[in-house]
Amino acid sequence: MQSNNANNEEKLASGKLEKDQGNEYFKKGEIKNALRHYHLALFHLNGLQNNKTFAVFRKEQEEEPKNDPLQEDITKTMSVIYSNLAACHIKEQNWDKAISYANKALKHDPENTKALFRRAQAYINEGNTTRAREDLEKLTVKNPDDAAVKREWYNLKMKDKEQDEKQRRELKGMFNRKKKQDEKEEEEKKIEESEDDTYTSASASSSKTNPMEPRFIELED
Amino acid sequence: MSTSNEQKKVKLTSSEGTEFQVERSVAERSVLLKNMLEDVGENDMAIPLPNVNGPILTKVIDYCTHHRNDPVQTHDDDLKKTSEDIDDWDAEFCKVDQGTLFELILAANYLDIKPLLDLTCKTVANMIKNKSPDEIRATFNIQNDFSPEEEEQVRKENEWCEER
Repeated sequence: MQSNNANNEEKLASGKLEKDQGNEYFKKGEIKNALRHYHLALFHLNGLQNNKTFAVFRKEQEEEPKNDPLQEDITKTMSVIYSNLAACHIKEQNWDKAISYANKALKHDPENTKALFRRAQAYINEGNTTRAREDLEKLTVKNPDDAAVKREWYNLKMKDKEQDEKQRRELKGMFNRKKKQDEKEEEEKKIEESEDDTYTSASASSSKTNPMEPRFIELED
Repeated sequence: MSTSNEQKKVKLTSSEGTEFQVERSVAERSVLLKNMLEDVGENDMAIPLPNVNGPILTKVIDYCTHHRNDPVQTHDDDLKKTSEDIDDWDAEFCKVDQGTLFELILAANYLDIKPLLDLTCKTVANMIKNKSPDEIRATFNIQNDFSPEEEEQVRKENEWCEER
């Protein structure tokens, strides 16, 4: 059907064109339009890596045609598009979708550092600090001095602290109910109020010191 | 015909530029389209599908329209499936020439319609099942490029799977 190379090259070019348009819109902050063009890019590229799907038809000894530069370009480009879709969803604060698109990006290209970075950001914001830590550790191995990665470590720490405090508050609340049932209610309230304050101020400051903008505004081309 | 609560139509364009209109629930059988519709919503602009031609897209839309209300397949379901559980409508749907069947497999893969991919692959599996190597070659028009020695070797290696 469409396995001839000239045809695939043409489709790859069309896909890249759509992706570039998506990037333009992304830079302008028009996320809906960016999303649209990234999806249109996928409509050109999806299904072109048929080699993988129909691997069963190849002889066992044959290697996957990894050395095919066109196939490699297609796979890498798809990874970038998925990673950029993840960036759009981070902008829109759809952490779930950002994670799922970053996963797709990493499936196509496990070395896609930006996708890994975006997934880490989404995990932090979603509150999945365990997964976020795993991703940040991988990123730190790759780029030990990257400022953006360091910043996300900081954000992760803030999130951890936030969750810790929340948990402590809840636990304390349980204790208080059990132990100090007959003690003065007033005092308790005071404690809780003051803790509430620190909690909100911590989360507010963490959102203020959350300048992710500079990093994920840049897109690959 | 049109009622106020009728679903909005989604426009699709096949590789040669033919336009199709389908309801959103039909289009959403395709995960590729579903992802896009979820992200950007319906739009008057047609969605180009450059990797599927009109006749095949017509078949795919037939399938998706018939199965529009099917529950979403979960992974657990996969385990129980065999190539036997094809219902009458689906079997009839797959009564097409081999070329069309192959293109339907590609289209199902492209549009990411898992149940259609399963169905078409099962149909091919059933064409292979219970056949001797020569019968399979005849079915798919495959030339035998083994030397007699090679063929004997392959037969020996795969003896274990033959019925006694």
